[in-house]
Amino acid sequence: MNGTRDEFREERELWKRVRVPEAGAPSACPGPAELAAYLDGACRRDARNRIEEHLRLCPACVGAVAELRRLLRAGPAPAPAAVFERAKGLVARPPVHGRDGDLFAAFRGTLALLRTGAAWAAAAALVVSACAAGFTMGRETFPLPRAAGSAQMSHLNPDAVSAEFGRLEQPFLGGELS
Amino acid sequence: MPNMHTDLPRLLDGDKAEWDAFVDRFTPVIWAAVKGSLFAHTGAVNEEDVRDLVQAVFVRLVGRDFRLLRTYDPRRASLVTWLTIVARSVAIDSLRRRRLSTVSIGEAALEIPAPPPVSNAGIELPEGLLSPRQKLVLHLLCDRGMEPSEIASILGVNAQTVRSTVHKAVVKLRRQLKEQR
Repeated sequence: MNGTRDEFREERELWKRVRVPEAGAPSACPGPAELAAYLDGACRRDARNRIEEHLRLCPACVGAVAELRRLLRAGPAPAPAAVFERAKGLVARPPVHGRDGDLFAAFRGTLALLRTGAAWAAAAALVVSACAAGFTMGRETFPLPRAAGSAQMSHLNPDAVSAEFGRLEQPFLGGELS
Repeated sequence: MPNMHTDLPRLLDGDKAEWDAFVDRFTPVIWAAVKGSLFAHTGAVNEEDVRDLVQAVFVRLVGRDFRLLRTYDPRRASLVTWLTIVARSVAIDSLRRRRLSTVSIGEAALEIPAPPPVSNAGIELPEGLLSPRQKLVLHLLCDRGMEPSEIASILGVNAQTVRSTVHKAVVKLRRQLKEQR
């Protein structure tokens, strides 16, 4: 027999003799903002009461809270460098605006690139091929910087990704994700 | 140690330098949360899955002009906690959809016993006699058979506080049962 049963036998017997009246259906699972405040011990008493009433009735949320507490205690872990770079690529660099708009900005960008000794050969090749392509296609061929002030994904369709993960903004702790 | 301060307005405005700093600061948090969640629910971790899911978290944060990140309120909780919740949710959602887990996600993964069947027997407690916390603690202790240390972990308190909560609740229960004889 484990210590819990020995230590709390009387409490169990008492608890069996009572019944907690339930006021209707269980409340909805807390969302990320509410739950984060609870985990940080930063929510108001009424919010804490609401969450703890919910936990008594929702095993999945109890499991989620227990797991989140463990994750937070474990803390951050080192990640491979490539993971950082991949994430950084989701937000593009702002343009360098000049008198001639994008063409001037591209020229300045190329000058900046040419200051690095290692980039000379690559830049030269790029200029040659760009000029050839431009002559062939008859249009601007330097890659144009993206506009500042808006997060644009360099290689993903934001709407498609958002649709795939759209359910994340709904309560997602205990019940089935819709 | 990177500076943990995030200039949210600049970040949400799409400032590249702020975004890169945000990634530097919080990738380890998100990585650990995804990895820990996958391990908790599958017992194994595939690093490629972790990489993809971490990226999925970031994609989720920037999508629709930082729509999800705009819901974060720094007055209510820390960014570390909020991101841990988001990262876990992305991982769990992925497992649900990919059906990688062979057990039901949540309760079974943590081996929390199922609650007993609801019974209409017993003396009904007057509303407000026990606080929600006291009811929760007694439920986890008596109905779920959890240890005080496990309950403490869920509540974010120490085991002695759990015992104290139990004691105070039981004093109220004894008094109530005595009055109703």
